Amino acid sequence: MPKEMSKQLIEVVNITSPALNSRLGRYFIGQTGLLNFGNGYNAWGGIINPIDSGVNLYFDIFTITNFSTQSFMGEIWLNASSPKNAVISSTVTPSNQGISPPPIPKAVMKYADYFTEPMTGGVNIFGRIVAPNSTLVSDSHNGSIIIGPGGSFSILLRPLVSQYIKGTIVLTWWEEAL
Amino acid sequence: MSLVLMDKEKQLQNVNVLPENVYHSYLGEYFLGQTDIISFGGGYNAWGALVNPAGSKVNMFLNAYTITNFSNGPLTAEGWLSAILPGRRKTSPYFAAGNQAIIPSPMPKVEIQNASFVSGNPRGGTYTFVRRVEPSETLTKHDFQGMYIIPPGSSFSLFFLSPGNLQVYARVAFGWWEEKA
Repeated sequence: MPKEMSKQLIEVVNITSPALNSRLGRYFIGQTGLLNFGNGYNAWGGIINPIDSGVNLYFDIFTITNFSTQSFMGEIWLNASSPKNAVISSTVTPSNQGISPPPIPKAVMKYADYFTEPMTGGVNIFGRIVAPNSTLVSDSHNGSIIIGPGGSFSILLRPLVSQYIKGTIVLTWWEEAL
Repeated sequence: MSLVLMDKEKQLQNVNVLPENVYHSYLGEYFLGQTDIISFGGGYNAWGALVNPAGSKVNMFLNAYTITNFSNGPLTAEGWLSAILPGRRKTSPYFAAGNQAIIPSPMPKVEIQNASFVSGNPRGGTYTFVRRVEPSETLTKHDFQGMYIIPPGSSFSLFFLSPGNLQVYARVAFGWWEEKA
Protein backbone atom coordinates (compact mmCIF):
# COMPACT_ATOMS: atom_id res chain seq x y z
CA MET A 1 0.00 0.00 0.00
CA PRO A 2 1.49 3.46 -0.89
CA LYS A 3 2.45 5.39 2.23
CA GLU A 4 0.32 8.45 1.44
CA MET A 5 -2.75 6.34 0.88
CA SER A 6 -2.38 4.50 4.20
CA LYS A 7 -2.31 7.86 5.98
CA GLN A 8 -5.66 8.83 4.53
CA LEU A 9 -7.36 5.52 5.24
CA ILE A 10 -9.54 5.11 8.28
CA GLU A 11 -9.76 1.45 9.16
CA VAL A 12 -12.76 0.35 11.19
CA VAL A 13 -14.08 -2.97 12.38
CA ASN A 14 -17.53 -3.69 10.94
CA ILE A 15 -19.67 -5.35 13.60
CA THR A 16 -22.92 -6.53 11.99
CA SER A 17 -26.13 -6.01 13.92
CA PRO A 18 -26.57 -9.78 14.59
CA ALA A 19 -22.99 -10.03 15.91
CA LEU A 20 -23.39 -6.90 18.05
CA ASN A 21 -26.61 -8.16 19.58
CA SER A 22 -25.13 -11.61 20.18
CA ARG A 23 -22.31 -9.99 22.17
CA LEU A 24 -24.96 -8.17 24.18
CA GLY A 25 -26.69 -11.49 24.93
CA ARG A 26 -29.95 -10.61 23.25
CA TYR A 27 -29.72 -12.72 20.07
CA PHE A 28 -31.76 -15.94 20.14
CA ILE A 29 -32.18 -19.09 18.04
CA GLY A 30 -35.37 -21.11 18.18
CA GLN A 31 -36.21 -24.41 16.53
CA THR A 32 -39.61 -26.08 16.21
CA GLY A 33 -40.15 -29.75 16.93
CA LEU A 34 -40.46 -32.14 13.97
CA LEU A 35 -43.47 -31.01 11.95
CA ASN A 36 -45.69 -33.62 10.26
CA PHE A 37 -47.99 -32.47 7.49
CA GLY A 38 -49.09 -33.15 3.90
CA ASN A 39 -52.20 -34.73 2.41
CA GLY A 40 -54.21 -31.55 3.01
CA TYR A 41 -52.69 -30.82 6.42
CA ASN A 42 -50.44 -27.83 7.13
CA ALA A 43 -47.74 -27.04 9.68
CA TRP A 44 -46.62 -23.77 11.27
CA GLY A 45 -43.86 -22.26 13.39
CA GLY A 46 -43.39 -18.72 14.61
CA ILE A 47 -42.12 -16.28 17.21
CA ILE A 48 -44.66 -14.23 19.11
CA ASN A 49 -43.88 -10.94 20.84
CA PRO A 50 -46.11 -10.79 23.95
CA ILE A 51 -48.15 -7.58 24.27
CA ASP A 52 -46.44 -6.72 27.59
CA SER A 53 -42.88 -7.72 26.55
CA GLY A 54 -41.38 -4.23 26.55
CA VAL A 55 -39.19 -5.19 23.55
CA ASN A 56 -39.23 -5.10 19.76
CA LEU A 57 -38.10 -8.22 17.89
CA TYR A 58 -35.61 -7.72 15.06
CA PHE A 59 -35.89 -10.66 12.72
CA ASP A 60 -32.71 -12.09 11.21
CA ILE A 61 -32.73 -15.55 9.56
CA PHE A 62 -35.14 -18.40 8.88
CA THR A 63 -34.27 -21.93 7.80
CA ILE A 64 -36.75 -24.52 6.60
CA THR A 65 -35.69 -28.17 6.42
CA ASN A 66 -37.49 -30.63 4.15
CA PHE A 67 -36.90 -34.26 5.18
CA SER A 68 -39.22 -35.62 2.49
CA THR A 69 -38.91 -36.42 -1.22
CA GLN A 70 -41.44 -33.77 -2.37
CA SER A 71 -41.20 -29.97 -2.53
CA PHE A 72 -43.46 -27.92 -0.29
CA MET A 73 -44.30 -24.23 0.16
CA GLY A 74 -43.09 -22.05 3.04
CA GLU A 75 -45.27 -18.91 3.42
CA ILE A 76 -43.88 -16.02 5.48
CA TRP A 77 -46.56 -14.28 7.59
CA LEU A 78 -46.46 -11.12 9.70
CA ASN A 79 -48.81 -10.87 12.70
CA ALA A 80 -50.81 -14.06 12.01
CA SER A 81 -52.53 -15.66 15.02
CA SER A 82 -51.26 -19.03 16.30
CA PRO A 83 -53.18 -22.13 15.18
CA LYS A 84 -55.39 -23.60 17.93
CA ASN A 85 -53.17 -26.64 18.51
CA ALA A 86 -49.92 -24.65 18.78
CA VAL A 87 -47.46 -25.62 21.53
CA ILE A 88 -44.49 -23.73 22.99
CA SER A 89 -41.06 -24.78 21.75
CA SER A 90 -38.46 -25.65 24.39
CA THR A 91 -35.53 -25.53 21.94
CA VAL A 92 -34.81 -21.80 22.19
CA THR A 93 -31.38 -20.56 23.25
CA PRO A 94 -29.24 -17.42 23.29
CA SER A 95 -26.49 -17.56 20.65
CA ASN A 96 -24.07 -16.16 23.27
CA GLN A 97 -23.40 -19.14 25.53
CA GLY A 98 -20.83 -17.20 27.55
CA ILE A 99 -23.32 -15.33 29.74
CA SER A 100 -24.38 -16.81 33.08
CA PRO A 101 -27.22 -17.16 33.84
CA PRO A 102 -28.27 -17.50 30.18
CA PRO A 103 -30.48 -14.64 28.96
CA ILE A 104 -34.13 -15.60 28.49
CA PRO A 105 -35.97 -14.16 25.48
CA LYS A 106 -39.19 -12.22 25.93
CA ALA A 107 -40.43 -13.69 22.62
CA VAL A 108 -42.15 -17.07 22.68
CA MET A 109 -41.62 -19.64 19.94
CA LYS A 110 -44.63 -21.79 19.08
CA TYR A 111 -45.31 -24.47 16.53
CA ALA A 112 -48.22 -26.58 15.32
CA ASP A 113 -48.60 -29.38 12.81
CA TYR A 114 -51.23 -31.53 11.21
CA PHE A 115 -53.98 -28.89 11.11
CA THR A 116 -56.32 -27.75 8.33
CA GLU A 117 -57.68 -24.43 9.63
CA PRO A 118 -56.64 -21.36 7.56
CA MET A 119 -54.41 -18.66 9.07
CA THR A 120 -56.35 -15.90 10.83
CA GLY A 121 -55.13 -12.30 10.88
CA GLY A 122 -51.85 -11.06 9.53
CA VAL A 123 -50.52 -10.91 6.01
CA ASN A 124 -48.52 -13.35 3.87
CA ILE A 125 -45.73 -11.15 2.51
CA PHE A 126 -43.70 -13.69 0.53
CA GLY A 127 -43.03 -17.40 0.10
CA ARG A 128 -40.43 -19.97 -0.85
CA ILE A 129 -40.58 -23.40 -2.41
CA VAL A 130 -38.47 -25.77 -0.27
CA ALA A 131 -36.74 -28.45 -2.37
CA PRO A 132 -36.78 -32.14 -1.29
CA ASN A 133 -34.13 -33.36 1.16
CA SER A 134 -32.65 -29.92 1.70
CA THR A 135 -32.44 -27.01 4.11
CA LEU A 136 -33.38 -23.61 2.73
CA VAL A 137 -31.43 -20.86 4.55
CA SER A 138 -32.65 -17.30 4.09
CA ASP A 139 -30.26 -14.40 3.74
CA SER A 140 -29.72 -12.31 6.87
CA HIS A 141 -32.57 -9.82 7.15
CA ASN A 142 -30.32 -7.81 9.50
CA GLY A 143 -33.32 -6.63 11.51
CA SER A 144 -35.20 -5.08 8.58
CA ILE A 145 -38.35 -6.89 9.78
CA ILE A 146 -39.35 -5.52 13.18
CA ILE A 147 -42.13 -7.05 15.28
CA GLY A 148 -43.66 -4.87 18.01
CA PRO A 149 -45.40 -6.14 21.18
CA GLY A 150 -48.53 -8.11 20.25
CA GLY A 151 -47.14 -9.07 16.83
CA SER A 152 -45.63 -12.23 15.37
CA PHE A 153 -43.35 -13.55 12.62
CA SER A 154 -44.26 -17.01 11.39
CA ILE A 155 -43.95 -19.51 8.58
CA LEU A 156 -46.79 -21.68 7.29
CA LEU A 157 -45.75 -24.92 5.60
CA ARG A 158 -48.15 -26.08 2.87
CA PRO A 159 -47.84 -29.25 0.82
CA LEU A 160 -47.88 -28.91 -2.98
CA VAL A 161 -48.70 -32.58 -3.60
CA SER A 162 -50.59 -35.25 -1.64
CA GLN A 163 -47.91 -37.02 0.31
CA TYR A 164 -46.86 -37.05 3.96
CA ILE A 165 -44.05 -34.61 4.69
CA LYS A 166 -41.71 -33.97 7.61
CA GLY A 167 -39.99 -30.64 8.17
CA THR A 168 -38.61 -28.25 10.76
CA ILE A 169 -38.26 -24.47 11.03
CA VAL A 170 -35.48 -22.47 12.71
CA LEU A 171 -35.88 -18.74 13.38
CA THR A 172 -33.28 -16.30 14.71
CA TRP A 173 -33.85 -12.80 16.09
CA TRP A 174 -32.68 -10.24 18.60
CA GLU A 175 -34.59 -8.14 21.11
CA GLU A 176 -34.21 -4.46 21.96
CA ALA A 177 -36.01 -2.64 24.79
CA LEU A 178 -38.61 -0.09 23.66
CA MET B 1 0.47 -4.32 5.60
CA SER B 2 3.23 -2.25 7.25
CA LEU B 3 4.23 -2.67 10.90
CA VAL B 4 3.27 0.93 11.61
CA LEU B 5 -0.27 0.14 10.52
CA MET B 6 -0.37 -3.08 12.57
CA ASP B 7 0.27 -1.07 15.75
CA LYS B 8 -2.69 1.13 14.98
CA GLU B 9 -5.01 -1.88 14.81
CA LYS B 10 -5.26 -1.80 18.59
CA GLN B 11 -6.96 1.57 18.33
CA LEU B 12 -9.46 0.65 15.61
CA GLN B 13 -12.96 1.91 16.09
CA ASN B 14 -15.78 -0.61 16.07
CA VAL B 15 -18.74 0.45 13.99
CA ASN B 16 -22.10 -1.16 13.30
CA VAL B 17 -22.76 -0.64 9.58
CA LEU B 18 -26.46 -0.85 8.73
CA PRO B 19 -27.42 -1.98 5.23
CA GLU B 20 -29.36 0.87 3.64
CA ASN B 21 -32.65 -1.05 3.49
CA VAL B 22 -32.41 -1.74 7.25
CA TYR B 23 -31.97 1.98 7.93
CA HIS B 24 -35.07 2.72 5.87
CA SER B 25 -36.98 0.03 7.73
CA TYR B 26 -36.12 1.76 11.02
CA LEU B 27 -37.68 4.88 9.47
CA GLY B 28 -40.80 2.91 8.44
CA GLU B 29 -40.00 3.32 4.73
CA TYR B 30 -39.19 -0.32 3.85
CA PHE B 31 -41.91 -2.62 2.52
CA LEU B 32 -42.28 -6.27 1.51
CA GLY B 33 -45.05 -7.92 -0.44
CA GLN B 34 -46.11 -10.25 -3.20
CA THR B 35 -48.49 -10.53 -6.13
CA ASP B 36 -51.47 -12.85 -6.29
CA ILE B 37 -50.86 -16.16 -8.05
CA ILE B 38 -50.14 -15.38 -11.71
CA SER B 39 -51.35 -17.76 -14.46
CA PHE B 40 -50.25 -17.90 -18.10
CA GLY B 41 -49.64 -20.24 -21.01
CA GLY B 42 -51.45 -21.31 -24.16
CA GLY B 43 -50.04 -18.31 -26.01
CA TYR B 44 -51.01 -15.87 -23.27
CA ASN B 45 -48.38 -14.02 -21.22
CA ALA B 46 -48.51 -12.50 -17.71
CA TRP B 47 -46.65 -10.06 -15.47
CA GLY B 48 -45.99 -8.92 -11.92
CA ALA B 49 -44.74 -5.42 -11.20
CA LEU B 50 -43.94 -2.70 -8.68
CA VAL B 51 -45.71 0.40 -9.98
CA ASN B 52 -44.86 3.87 -8.67
CA PRO B 53 -47.99 5.99 -9.31
CA ALA B 54 -47.53 9.31 -11.12
CA GLY B 55 -48.61 11.39 -8.13
CA SER B 56 -46.75 9.44 -5.43
CA LYS B 57 -44.08 12.08 -4.73
CA VAL B 58 -41.63 9.27 -3.78
CA ASN B 59 -38.85 7.47 -5.57
CA MET B 60 -38.86 3.69 -5.20
CA PHE B 61 -35.56 1.88 -4.49
CA LEU B 62 -35.67 -1.84 -5.26
CA ASN B 63 -33.89 -4.15 -2.82
CA ALA B 64 -35.05 -7.65 -3.77
CA TYR B 65 -37.28 -9.73 -6.00
CA THR B 66 -38.22 -13.41 -5.93
CA ILE B 67 -39.95 -15.52 -8.58
CA THR B 68 -41.71 -18.73 -7.53
CA ASN B 69 -42.41 -21.21 -10.33
CA PHE B 70 -45.14 -23.65 -9.23
CA SER B 71 -45.13 -25.59 -12.50
CA ASN B 72 -43.30 -28.72 -13.69
CA GLY B 73 -41.57 -26.90 -16.54
CA PRO B 74 -39.07 -24.03 -16.62
CA LEU B 75 -40.27 -20.50 -17.32
CA THR B 76 -38.78 -17.30 -18.68
CA ALA B 77 -39.17 -13.95 -16.92
CA GLU B 78 -38.12 -10.71 -18.62
CA GLY B 79 -37.13 -7.72 -16.48
CA TRP B 80 -38.57 -4.44 -17.85
CA LEU B 81 -38.08 -0.88 -16.62
CA SER B 82 -40.73 1.80 -17.16
CA ALA B 83 -42.70 -0.26 -19.70
CA ILE B 84 -46.41 0.10 -20.50
CA LEU B 85 -47.90 -3.27 -19.54
CA PRO B 86 -50.82 -4.97 -21.34
CA GLY B 87 -53.98 -6.49 -19.91
CA ARG B 88 -56.31 -6.06 -16.94
CA ARG B 89 -54.32 -5.51 -13.78
CA LYS B 90 -55.00 -6.42 -10.16
CA THR B 91 -53.52 -4.53 -7.22
CA SER B 92 -52.26 -6.86 -4.52
CA PRO B 93 -53.33 -6.62 -0.86
CA TYR B 94 -50.41 -8.84 0.22
CA PHE B 95 -47.88 -6.31 1.51
CA ALA B 96 -46.65 -4.86 4.80
CA ALA B 97 -44.10 -2.45 6.24
CA GLY B 98 -40.95 -4.21 7.43
CA ASN B 99 -41.23 -2.17 10.62
CA GLN B 100 -44.36 -3.48 12.38
CA ALA B 101 -43.48 -1.67 15.62
CA ILE B 102 -44.79 1.67 14.27
CA ILE B 103 -48.47 2.38 14.98
CA PRO B 104 -50.37 3.01 12.77
CA SER B 105 -48.54 0.83 10.27
CA PRO B 106 -46.82 2.82 7.49
CA MET B 107 -48.43 2.41 4.07
CA PRO B 108 -46.42 2.32 0.84
CA LYS B 109 -47.18 4.68 -2.05
CA VAL B 110 -45.92 2.07 -4.54
CA GLU B 111 -48.38 -0.64 -5.62
CA ILE B 112 -47.78 -4.33 -6.33
CA GLN B 113 -49.76 -5.24 -9.46
CA ASN B 114 -50.15 -8.29 -11.65
CA ALA B 115 -52.07 -9.52 -14.69
CA SER B 116 -52.72 -13.09 -15.91
CA PHE B 117 -53.40 -14.37 -19.44
CA VAL B 118 -52.58 -11.17 -21.34
CA SER B 119 -52.06 -10.89 -25.08
CA GLY B 120 -49.23 -8.79 -26.38
CA ASN B 121 -46.01 -7.57 -24.90
CA PRO B 122 -44.72 -4.59 -22.89
CA ARG B 123 -44.50 -1.37 -24.90
CA GLY B 124 -41.95 1.40 -24.44
CA GLY B 125 -39.53 1.16 -21.55
CA THR B 126 -36.44 -1.03 -21.57
CA TYR B 127 -36.05 -4.78 -21.62
CA THR B 128 -33.11 -4.89 -19.24
CA PHE B 129 -32.51 -8.52 -18.15
CA VAL B 130 -33.87 -12.04 -18.45
CA ARG B 131 -34.14 -14.85 -15.89
CA ARG B 132 -34.81 -18.52 -16.59
CA VAL B 133 -36.56 -20.14 -13.61
CA GLU B 134 -36.31 -23.88 -12.99
CA PRO B 135 -39.43 -25.96 -12.30
CA SER B 136 -40.75 -25.99 -8.73
CA GLU B 137 -38.31 -23.49 -7.26
CA THR B 138 -38.16 -19.98 -5.86
CA LEU B 139 -35.51 -17.86 -7.55
CA THR B 140 -34.26 -15.15 -5.20
CA LYS B 141 -32.34 -11.99 -5.99
CA HIS B 142 -31.48 -9.95 -2.94
CA ASP B 143 -29.49 -6.94 -1.85
CA PHE B 144 -29.89 -4.66 -4.83
CA GLN B 145 -29.73 -2.03 -2.07
CA GLY B 146 -31.49 0.52 -4.24
CA MET B 147 -29.65 -0.09 -7.51
CA TYR B 148 -32.93 0.20 -9.43
CA ILE B 149 -34.46 3.61 -8.74
CA ILE B 150 -38.00 4.04 -10.05
CA PRO B 151 -39.50 7.59 -10.11
CA PRO B 152 -43.23 8.48 -9.98
CA GLY B 153 -45.07 7.28 -13.09
CA SER B 154 -42.62 4.46 -13.73
CA SER B 155 -42.38 0.74 -12.90
CA PHE B 156 -40.18 -2.35 -12.41
CA SER B 157 -41.82 -5.41 -13.95
CA LEU B 158 -41.23 -9.10 -14.49
CA PHE B 159 -42.92 -10.24 -17.72
CA PHE B 160 -43.63 -13.96 -18.13
CA LEU B 161 -43.61 -15.48 -21.60
CA SER B 162 -46.11 -18.21 -22.44
CA PRO B 163 -44.26 -21.56 -22.43
CA GLY B 164 -46.39 -22.99 -25.27
CA ASN B 165 -49.58 -24.91 -24.53
CA LEU B 166 -48.80 -25.64 -20.87
CA GLN B 167 -50.72 -23.61 -18.27
CA VAL B 168 -48.38 -22.50 -15.50
CA TYR B 169 -48.56 -20.70 -12.16
CA ALA B 170 -46.05 -18.31 -10.68
CA ARG B 171 -45.81 -15.70 -7.94
CA VAL B 172 -43.54 -12.70 -7.54
CA ALA B 173 -42.40 -10.98 -4.33
CA PHE B 174 -40.58 -7.67 -3.82
CA GLY B 175 -38.70 -5.74 -1.13
CA TRP B 176 -38.27 -1.98 -1.60
CA TRP B 177 -38.02 1.34 0.16
CA GLU B 178 -39.45 4.77 -0.65
CA GLU B 179 -37.85 8.21 -0.31
CA LYS B 180 -39.42 11.62 -0.94
CA ALA B 181 -38.83 12.57 -4.58
